Amino acid sequence: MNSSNKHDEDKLPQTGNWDFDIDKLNKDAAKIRELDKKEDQFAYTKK
Amino acid sequence: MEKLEKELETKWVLVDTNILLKAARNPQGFLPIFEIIKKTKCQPVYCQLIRAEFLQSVWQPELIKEMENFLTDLNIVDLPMKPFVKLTDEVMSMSRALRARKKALPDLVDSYAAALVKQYSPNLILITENHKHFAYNLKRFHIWPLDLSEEEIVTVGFYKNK
Repeated sequence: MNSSNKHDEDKLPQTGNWDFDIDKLNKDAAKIRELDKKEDQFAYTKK
Repeated sequence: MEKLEKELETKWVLVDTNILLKAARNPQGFLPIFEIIKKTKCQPVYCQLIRAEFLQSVWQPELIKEMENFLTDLNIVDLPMKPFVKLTDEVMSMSRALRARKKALPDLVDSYAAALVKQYSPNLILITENHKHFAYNLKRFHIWPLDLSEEEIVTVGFYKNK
């Protein structure tokens, strides 16, 4: 990261340490897709 | 791919709402993008306007909570929109340049995303599948098609300041 960045005074995100757990994200996504269906279904019944 | 990796190295990657909305439903499909972000020691970021656009798309409390969980588990972090007045001035300047050319204006979230890329240049890269709203203000330096499912292919564009 460019150390001469003019926003040094802010608490800017660090780089280089990012990681993710794809299994955890896939589990979140499965729940979201399931809830999407319920949301669509509910919206339909309220029409 | 080597050129892309060099461009990305240790940057912040601003993830546009359209990518977040699809990745929240199909993170596996975006795995190649996540992997290169990790490999190049980048940090995915959003701004509060993108967070709002992402979360306002749903209304059930349970679904809102799961969408927030996804953001937490993605370890995406907030990039400050500071100084906001300067960003707003940049948005107006870009909009006026488009109006002078009789071009349609992007929505405000996209305008502020472009202003952030300019403000934090050269340290901020935008990834989006919206290739209309950024064409005049930013430079697209890479495109990456993703085969999300039998029915869906998305093309992720990588944008930096011109």
